[in-house]
Amino acid sequence: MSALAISKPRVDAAQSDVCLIVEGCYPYVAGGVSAWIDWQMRTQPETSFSIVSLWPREVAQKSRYTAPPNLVALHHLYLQQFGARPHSFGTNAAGFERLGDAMTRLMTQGGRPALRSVMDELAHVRGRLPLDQLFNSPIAWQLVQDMYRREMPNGSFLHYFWAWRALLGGLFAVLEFPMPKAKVYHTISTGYAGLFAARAAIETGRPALLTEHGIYTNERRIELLMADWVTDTIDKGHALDDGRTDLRDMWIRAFEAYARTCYESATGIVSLYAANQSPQRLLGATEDKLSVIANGIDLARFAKVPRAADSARPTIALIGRVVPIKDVKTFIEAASLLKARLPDVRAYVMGPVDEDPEYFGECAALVEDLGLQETVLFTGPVNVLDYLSQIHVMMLTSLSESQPLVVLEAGAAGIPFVATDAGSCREIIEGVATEMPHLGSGGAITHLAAADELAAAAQVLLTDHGRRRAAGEALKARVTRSYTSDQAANAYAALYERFAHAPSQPPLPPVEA
Amino acid sequence: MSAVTANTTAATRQAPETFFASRRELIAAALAFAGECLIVVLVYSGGVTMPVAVALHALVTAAAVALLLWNREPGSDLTVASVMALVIAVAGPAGAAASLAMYPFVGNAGAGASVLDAWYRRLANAAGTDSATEMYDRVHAGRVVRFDHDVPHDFAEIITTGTLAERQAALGLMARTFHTDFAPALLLALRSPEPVVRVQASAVVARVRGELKVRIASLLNAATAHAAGISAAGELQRLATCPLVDGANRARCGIAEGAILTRALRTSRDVIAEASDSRPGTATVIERFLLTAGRYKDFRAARRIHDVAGGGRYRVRRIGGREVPS
Repeated sequence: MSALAISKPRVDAAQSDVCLIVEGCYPYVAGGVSAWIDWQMRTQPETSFSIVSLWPREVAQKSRYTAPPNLVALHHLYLQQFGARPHSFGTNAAGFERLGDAMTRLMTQGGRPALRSVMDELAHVRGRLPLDQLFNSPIAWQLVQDMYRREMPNGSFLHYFWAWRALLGGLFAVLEFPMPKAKVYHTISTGYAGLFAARAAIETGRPALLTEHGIYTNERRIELLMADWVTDTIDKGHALDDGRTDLRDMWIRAFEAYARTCYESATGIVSLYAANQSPQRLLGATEDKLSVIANGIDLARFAKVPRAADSARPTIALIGRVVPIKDVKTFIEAASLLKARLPDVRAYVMGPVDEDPEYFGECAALVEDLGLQETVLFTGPVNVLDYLSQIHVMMLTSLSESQPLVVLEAGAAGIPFVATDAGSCREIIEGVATEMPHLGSGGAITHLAAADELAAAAQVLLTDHGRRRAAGEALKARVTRSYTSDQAANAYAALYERFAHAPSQPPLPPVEA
Repeated sequence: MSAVTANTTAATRQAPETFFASRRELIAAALAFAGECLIVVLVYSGGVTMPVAVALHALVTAAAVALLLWNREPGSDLTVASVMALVIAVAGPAGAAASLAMYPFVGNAGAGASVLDAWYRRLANAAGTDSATEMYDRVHAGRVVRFDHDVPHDFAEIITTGTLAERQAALGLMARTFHTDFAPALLLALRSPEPVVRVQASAVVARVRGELKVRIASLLNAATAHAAGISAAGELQRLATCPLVDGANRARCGIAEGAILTRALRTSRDVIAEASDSRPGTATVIERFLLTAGRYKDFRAARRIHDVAGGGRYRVRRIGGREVPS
């Protein structure tokens, strides 16, 4: 891997078929999107990949993955690389008004033409001043004052200044980074990675593809709306219709604008499930670009798992880490309700307990308080294949999910599922509206944090053996039909094939001021 | 930077004097001196007669006065200009020479006067509002609550009928300033048909549960150490019925609340006095507990005190020789 750890693309670097653009994950974070990227490269051995990996700044990190043979280059793009040493160059701000206009438009509205304007203006500026000097020059000071007056005139300038530097520093870094050569640019999120892909599409005319596992803008919005580190500089009380722009609004608006830019510039936008397309549409993604490619699993691993006998002790299980987002406490409460109706019920919690020891302690205390020591068992990390044959009904109580693989794995083993209405659980368990022929329900969907609903649904499946078997079969049929690893790999191979051979688009004409 | 300092600086910067305006006395004195010298030379060389020389002197003086007064702002300071004109008119070449000689001393006074002039004009609001004042006003007005905006009376209604942006903003507010009264609205958001709202609500629930856990631990510790007051009992009562708290902790809160009130009932005078507490919940908790304990007399007294305290100002009237509030 070290051979690939070059910081910037070599001028003579060979062109790759696909340039993956990722933020804050591969190859230094294991699991999640990183695992997906590794899977993507390994399932497309004939396709050559390069990767642009975005990070806030350079830090020593250990790679968590071994590079596959078809990964030809790994580039690191550091978003906060310009430092803060002031430059005395560039004291004459005349002629930079257009750059200020363009940047304001990009940060507040977004869109492909807005990005193009900024790229054009910066191309003019580069001849006079390198971007790293511009970013710390008196001109930047003038720009930040002008943009403050337009964007957040009622808020604190000091806070705006630092937010501006964070946002624009990332933008400049993305626009300054040498563009690797590729036939297709594939970003795994909007945000700065999405901006880089949008720039690639404008600059090279090659197709840009976006796959969103979650909705990046929503994740940022949730973070920002709850963040204590973002100071409220305008006292709006509890008013929801106060239009004054504060720091949170500015950040959220910027990420929405960046997402809009990415959606407009992308040739194709892929989601893991259809429900994720609605926020994409809200930010301007057009219908002709949208498609769904679900993640898949290797069915063969689960094909030979025997079913739990009807006469065996009724058993439910939750597979997942014992952390608050999985809402294990609701699972325990559901087990308690279930025990009142089925006294010999058994409930497994299968997953690591050391990630949040305090939360695990609370869960253990709850088990004790509810007198469930003989009912709820924490197994720790185990090979789930060893347990699946004992389980009648699987449960998932997560507050938030994307496309949980555990539902697919249980489905592949023919075990019905009771899950909260998070992520794509409903689509997997109940099927999409367009499913032809409809395969039936693979279990039940409940509201979030509703122990009584979970217990009631599990009780039905535990006591009605015929219904349970039918649900298990329906889920297995659905997973087999729509959620296999091969299907996902083939869908991406087809997309890459189509986009790689698509003719280059002519460059977007310069935008009139 | 204070507004006054900022304004003075800005006013000075906004109206910079031109080279001519700041040097007009010097130019007028120099030209007058040159003209008067020429007249003297002409007289002594016999080039002109005395009446003509006097007429030429009047012409030079008039030219100097015109130069000194030309294009002056109305109301500007004319002290130096008047003295110069008078001296040149009366003393001719000597007066012009004197004006020239005194310029270094009176010239600076003139520049100072222009600054003072601008300042006086700003004080009188004659020059309008400068940019620094505008910025100060904008920032000041921008930071305060605007009471003309609607504040939601019911988050549950917003979550049910609001726009997506309103629901998201309301969830953000609930996360940052959570109160147990918001729990029903939060549960509604968890059941929203809109996935985006559900996802955000679940993030808020995760955060709020963490905060409640810390708060409950703190209250339970205080209760165990007999350091919790009646208001803590009120809070524990709310937490004991909050659907975001798990069953075991709800039970613990209920037990701790009972313990605090039982202890406090031993000194019923204090308990009843606490009933006037304006915090919602505290008085109700006390009244409920007094009823449960069968202390109806204390309950009536607590209810009376609470009602009176809640009624704001009240008058005292005399019934049968006793003073009673009404």
